[in-house]
Amino acid sequence: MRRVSSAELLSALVLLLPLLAVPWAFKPYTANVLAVYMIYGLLAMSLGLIWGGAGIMSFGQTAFFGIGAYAYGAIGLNLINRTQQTHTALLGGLAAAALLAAIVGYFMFYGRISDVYASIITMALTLVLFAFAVSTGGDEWVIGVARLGGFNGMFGQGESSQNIANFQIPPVTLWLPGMTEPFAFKINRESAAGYYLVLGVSVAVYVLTRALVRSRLGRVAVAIRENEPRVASLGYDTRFYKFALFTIAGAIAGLAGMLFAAWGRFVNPDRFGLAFAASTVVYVQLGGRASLLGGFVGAAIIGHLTSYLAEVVPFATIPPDAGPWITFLMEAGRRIVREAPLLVQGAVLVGVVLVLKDGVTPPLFRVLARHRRWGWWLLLPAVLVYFGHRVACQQADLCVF
Amino acid sequence: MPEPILEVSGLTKQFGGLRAVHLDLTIDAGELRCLIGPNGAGKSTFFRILSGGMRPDAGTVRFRGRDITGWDAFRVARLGMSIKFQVPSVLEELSVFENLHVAAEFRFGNRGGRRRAAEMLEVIGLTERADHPATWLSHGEKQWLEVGMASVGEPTLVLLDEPTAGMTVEEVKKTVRLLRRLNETATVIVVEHDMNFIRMIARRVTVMHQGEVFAEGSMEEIERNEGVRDIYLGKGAHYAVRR
Amino acid sequence: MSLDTAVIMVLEILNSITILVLLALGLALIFGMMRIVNLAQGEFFTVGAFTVLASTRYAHLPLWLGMLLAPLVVAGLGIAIERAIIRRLYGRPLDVMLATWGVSLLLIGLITVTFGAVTQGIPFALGNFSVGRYQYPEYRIVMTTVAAGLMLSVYLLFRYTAFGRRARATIANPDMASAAGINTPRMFMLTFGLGAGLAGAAGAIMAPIVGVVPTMGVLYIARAFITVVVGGPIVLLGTLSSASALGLIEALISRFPLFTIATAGHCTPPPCEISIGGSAFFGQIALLIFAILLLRLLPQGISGFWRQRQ
Repeated sequence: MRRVSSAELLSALVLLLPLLAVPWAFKPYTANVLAVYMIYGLLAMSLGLIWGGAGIMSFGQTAFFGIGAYAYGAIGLNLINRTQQTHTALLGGLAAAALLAAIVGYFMFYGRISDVYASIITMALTLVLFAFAVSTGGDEWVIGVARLGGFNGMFGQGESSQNIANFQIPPVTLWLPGMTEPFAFKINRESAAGYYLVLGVSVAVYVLTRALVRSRLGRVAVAIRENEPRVASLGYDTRFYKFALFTIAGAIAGLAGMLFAAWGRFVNPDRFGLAFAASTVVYVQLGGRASLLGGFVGAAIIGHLTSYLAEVVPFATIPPDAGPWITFLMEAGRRIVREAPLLVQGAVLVGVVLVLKDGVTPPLFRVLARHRRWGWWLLLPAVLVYFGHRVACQQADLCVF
Repeated sequence: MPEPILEVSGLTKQFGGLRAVHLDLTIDAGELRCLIGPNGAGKSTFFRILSGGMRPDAGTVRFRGRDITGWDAFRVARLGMSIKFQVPSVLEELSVFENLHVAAEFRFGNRGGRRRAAEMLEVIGLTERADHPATWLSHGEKQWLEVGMASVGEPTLVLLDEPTAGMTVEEVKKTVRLLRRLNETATVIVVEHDMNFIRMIARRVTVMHQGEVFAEGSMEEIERNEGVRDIYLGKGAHYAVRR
Repeated sequence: MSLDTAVIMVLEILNSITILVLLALGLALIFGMMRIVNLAQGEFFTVGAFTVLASTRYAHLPLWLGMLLAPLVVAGLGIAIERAIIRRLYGRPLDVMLATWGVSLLLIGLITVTFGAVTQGIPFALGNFSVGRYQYPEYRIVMTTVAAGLMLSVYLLFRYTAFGRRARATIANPDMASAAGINTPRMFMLTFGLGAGLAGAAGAIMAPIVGVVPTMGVLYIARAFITVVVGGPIVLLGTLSSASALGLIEALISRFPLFTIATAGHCTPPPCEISIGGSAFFGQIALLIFAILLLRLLPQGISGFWRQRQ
């Protein structure tokens, strides 16, 4: 056991080193993409915490993610022009997500609803929030200056000299005592602060969550997953432990949602949608729920795979003189590529359940733990070679694979 | 005059039309009481009601002077009653040490729980297997681990449901030693089928039959009782003559 | 409230109940009898609707034939999925849930690839009848009749046929049933196929009144599951009672605005206010909240509560 987790910790460090150097080596595009993978990874980790930790399969982590994003957006839009910082928005988003998780958790766990029902209720919650967010397109749906905007997503509405002016959700902006001016975390040609913010938060939350898993709360949660009546008979109020872990996981998901809204400066109902909920479960399922890193690994693999598919199959226009079969095949190919995310997710869900029960990280870590001596001497150069190749590929178009 | 620690009166539980349990019973502090009876006598149901896993239809359970009827399992456990289930239900994927730690941590906190867990490992003789997942243990070792989990929190009353099921003679002897030691600090109620085991440990024996108390007394009295012999011979003579 | 308003209200409540029964029946069968959470059920519904669409628009079959065809097609699909995937996962409820979700996503993707992501309508020939000052669609009465007919058929099937006896024996105790010579894997497969077929029938019946679109199942699956969970362990009576309770709430809240909240938006024309209640959306919100409160009070669902009281 202990060996495997040290393998996990070392892999985390090996992953971290290149990630620190990303903005320096790559175009801002790469930093942006990696930042969003990490945000999804954070969301997936919150699911891994509650699913791997206590055996509760929540389809609702995206609900807390979305609530965090919307609350951050609404408060941020209203306060940014007055206070020039987003401290309140950050606290508000976190509180909103944690509160929603606490309410849902209270009803589920203190109502003694079984685990399967808990999955159904969290899924219903997400779908209802989706329906709600979509139906807020009208002019009457505003919070202060923040318009909910229905399908179009959230934006702010202020009065300019001539007309109504729209503005975007603010990036994370700090203005602490002692600072001469506010500092905004953005990712662009000049600054990679936003990237480092996401990276820093991910590492911090990962470290804290690891500590949590090793604390009494985490140990009892695992025990509950193994045999809940037994743990109750030892004197633990299992309902409370599940409730607490669920609330913490909800808050982490909300944190990821806030980072997402601040990263894209945008949030729309898709965050509550089925496809997003599915992708989160797929990340954890593929990466493996036994390890907190699983979610990050899964997010990176799936993200890479879908963008790769979109690149590989060309969106060529169909020539007018093509025969009916060619036209049919090309049209079919295009449609398949357009639906690729859904098809890939569906296939991964079915495939992992049938073939690779615990995802990819546990066997990986087992191999690393068993062959510690030379495993690292192989892995480290591999990471360096891959990284060097990506740099060369990006900066000088020296792509080999 | 010892104080009663557990008073059960008029306790009734029905499944469908069948009355599974209907009994009155008093256990004094410091006792080591054996509960015997043929299959279906209601012993396991009785334990599940006592430990909060099941609500009775009627009757009351008083434990340490408090009415605990219908309490949640964890509250009963906090008041100092612990149980070893009939089917071994150790936490399979946790290590042996972690199993004991979780059981002890509740009362003694993290540090204290660690120390108690380590001590208990010695007592149940599983020190060498401390870091193995509990699922690797043999059947007998799982039973000892369960006894350890049930007693590491220093409960005042321990319910043990068939602690020697499936054990070899040597293993049974070790379990007897464990029980004697446990009984120095706690009241113990044991449900068993194995008469040899009961002869080794029992001072007072209660015979249950069809959910009710059928007879009560010392082992000699019980063994002389014609009625007891009848229900055993009628329903499952092999229990009495096993080994 | 005048008489015609009251009659319309009753008809709308009946309609809400009908829709919930149609959505939940197949799911309740699969969940109640096999203890399987089938997240692909919404897509079985979708496939049923698309079968009707394909057979009327592309094969030019009459509407009623398409509607008869749909449950058969979907039952076949369900049996195929049971054989290929679910059979390997019995005893792993969470994995079944994930695998069927994967199937659900794959089906949405494949339907979109085949039919495109647009919403299509299915024309039908029935008109309205009048109740005092109001017009009410005749088709809704047809739906209610069909839903009642489906429930009755399922009841008769399980109560009085050899298949029903064997299925109930299998569900009650699979080991005992197979010892008695019943081919239990086959019974599970047929029960799953039957549940899928019922979803297909629901999709076919509802296709003319809703937009047919690949993601339509997602819109209904949550309500179907809530109905089943609130219904509890007794399949038919539980479904009917929870559909009645939830349908009543949904219809009432959909119809009557409760209160309004003024907001600071820029509306034309003013005033800017949000009306709580009085729309289908708030009907669904009310349904969810009511269901959660009900489950807090009766964790075993409505029929589980009855069973406890006995």
